[in-house]
Amino acid sequence: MAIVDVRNLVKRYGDVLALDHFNLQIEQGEVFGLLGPNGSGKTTTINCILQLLTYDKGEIELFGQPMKPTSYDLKRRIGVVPQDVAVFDELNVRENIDYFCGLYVTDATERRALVDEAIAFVGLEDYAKFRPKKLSGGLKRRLNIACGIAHKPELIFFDEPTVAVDPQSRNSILEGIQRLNAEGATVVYTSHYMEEVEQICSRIMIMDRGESLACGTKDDLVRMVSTGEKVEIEAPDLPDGTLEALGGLPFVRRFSHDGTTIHLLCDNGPHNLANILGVLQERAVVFGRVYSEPPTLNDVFLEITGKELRD
Amino acid sequence: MWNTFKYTVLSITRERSVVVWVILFPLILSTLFNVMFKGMDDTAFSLPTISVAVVDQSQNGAGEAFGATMDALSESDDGEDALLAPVYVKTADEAYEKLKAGETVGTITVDADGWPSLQLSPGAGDVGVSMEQVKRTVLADIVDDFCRSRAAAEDIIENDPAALANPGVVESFSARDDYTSELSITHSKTKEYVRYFYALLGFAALMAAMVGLNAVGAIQPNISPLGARRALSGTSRAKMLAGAIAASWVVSFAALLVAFVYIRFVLGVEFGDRDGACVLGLAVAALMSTSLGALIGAMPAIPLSAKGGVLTGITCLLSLFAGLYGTPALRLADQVAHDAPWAAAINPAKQVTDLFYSLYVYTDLEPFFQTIGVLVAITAIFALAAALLMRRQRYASL
Repeated sequence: MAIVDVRNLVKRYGDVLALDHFNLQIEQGEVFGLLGPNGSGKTTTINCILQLLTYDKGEIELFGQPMKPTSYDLKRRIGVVPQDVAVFDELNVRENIDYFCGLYVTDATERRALVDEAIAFVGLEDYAKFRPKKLSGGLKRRLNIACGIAHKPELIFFDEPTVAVDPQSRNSILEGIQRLNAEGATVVYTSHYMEEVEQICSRIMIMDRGESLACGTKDDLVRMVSTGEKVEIEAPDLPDGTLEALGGLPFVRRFSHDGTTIHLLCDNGPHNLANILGVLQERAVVFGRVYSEPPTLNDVFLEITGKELRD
Repeated sequence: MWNTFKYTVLSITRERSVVVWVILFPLILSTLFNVMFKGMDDTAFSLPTISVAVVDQSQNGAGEAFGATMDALSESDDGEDALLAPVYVKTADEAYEKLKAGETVGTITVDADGWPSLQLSPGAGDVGVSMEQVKRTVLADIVDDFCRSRAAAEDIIENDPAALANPGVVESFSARDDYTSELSITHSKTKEYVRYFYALLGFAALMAAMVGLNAVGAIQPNISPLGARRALSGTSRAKMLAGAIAASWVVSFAALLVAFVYIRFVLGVEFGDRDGACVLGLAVAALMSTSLGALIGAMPAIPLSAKGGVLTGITCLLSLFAGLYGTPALRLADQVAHDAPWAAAINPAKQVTDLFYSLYVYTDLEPFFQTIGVLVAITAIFALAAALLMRRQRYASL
């Protein structure tokens, strides 16, 4: 059963079509990545799913039940970590987490344990009495996460939670999301950072201009695009005919030598590198370091969404 | 709801702008008022010493009686300033020069038979009652009183000298009976300056609306990320609103109570000795301010900081028509209340001012409860308008 089921969702901002008959199905236990450039409709999708925004058309079901603005029983099973840090500046870390947890859990004793657990989860034990203004950007992001997950939700939406944080904090946040998933939470993760999505997501949707352009595992997506494997081999002295022999291999699309390095662009294939090295050994070519770079999610993303600049 | 109430109280009371403008500012302003208006207390009035030139032309001791009167009036009593400071000169010309130079207010010339006559400076076209006019009146009264008493005594000596054997007759020459007594038709002896403090409480009540504004604004999804985040939670917006509004009322009421206690018990401003009714009035004023804050906080498409500016502008404007800014403002407030009573009725600052004034002035509590009724009606209108603005739970855009 899909834990999130969105069908034919249409959302307009005046004349602008923000979501165009958008469909989304997320299974329980997934870490689902929603990838897209700025303005592609990621946050709008989440806000519509959570009934914060009205929409023009479509059906939304969560946990198998229709989602309505007053579905507080469903909302209590959901955690949200918004893009902007949304906490009270006047409350300290513990008070903030307790407040947001209290919007879902009314029992104070139960809440105390949950707040302690959330503080430990994001590693803010030493900052429990600090107000947000005293925290660095990374610590604020961690507080934002603690506020969203303290009540132990079954489904958690992370909307670009690593914007403007340092690599250490980013790593800590991503590891935390993986732990939450390991503990049973289904995660919806929006970002435009490819490496993050590659690192944690079991399934990825690339969306742009309110449409789903591709959806699947990372390998599925890589297979969808024409961008192939790049191979580079350091070989300053190249015997005559070697480059042409390499170019004659059936999977090689482009080849060149700049005097020190051979550059090859190949179709995707499991044995490309072995075949190339075989040609060099046959011709007794002395070579140094070898680089093989399979297509990345970044290549997929750029090929699908285009390279023109966005807002 | 309790969770929202508790943390809204905490966050509001820790917000610097609220502490400064809602709690400290009324205390500072009332202290300034106290310094400025203390001198306006009726009991504090004192007449400065009157300088008068005296030309004594009496012969054979005929001027002794008037001289004794002058001596008595120029003695200082119990450390207070003397009433008169006579300057004895030899000629009328010399006295005139002093009058012209402004050194004296008038000239008393005692003739050969010891009868005084008074010449006063003409004044400088004074409008209204000036201190110089008061001094001239006092001088004239002194000379008139002396002449009447002396004439009465001489009349008795001439027509019924035996009466002087009666000590009561002799005492009656110096007795000054009051044939009028001061009665107050109001609940308290009215002092004009207290109105400024009541207007200040009206101003403080409107400023306290900042509390409701911030609390309600922080729930609106289209105002702040915090509002959007809270709107996604598992608690209904109605519960969050109830908690935020209850917290705003408690904080506003507490802030007004602090201002009242300071003005009433530290500065000693009178409120008609009806402290219980005053507290009830403050509770209703806080309710009005919370609903006003909720209304401004619920206004769509205006940033929270701009809403704070709107509230400050409204507060300053309405306080003008409540008479906060001195005598001209008081006159303006009275004029508006007289010429356009509906305008005064819809001015919450004026209503809060009137709330305390009615307790101070009227023996009957009916005007107080009428004003309470008006404030409750204003509160209901604000609350209804706020509810209409906040009724939608979802937004077309954020």
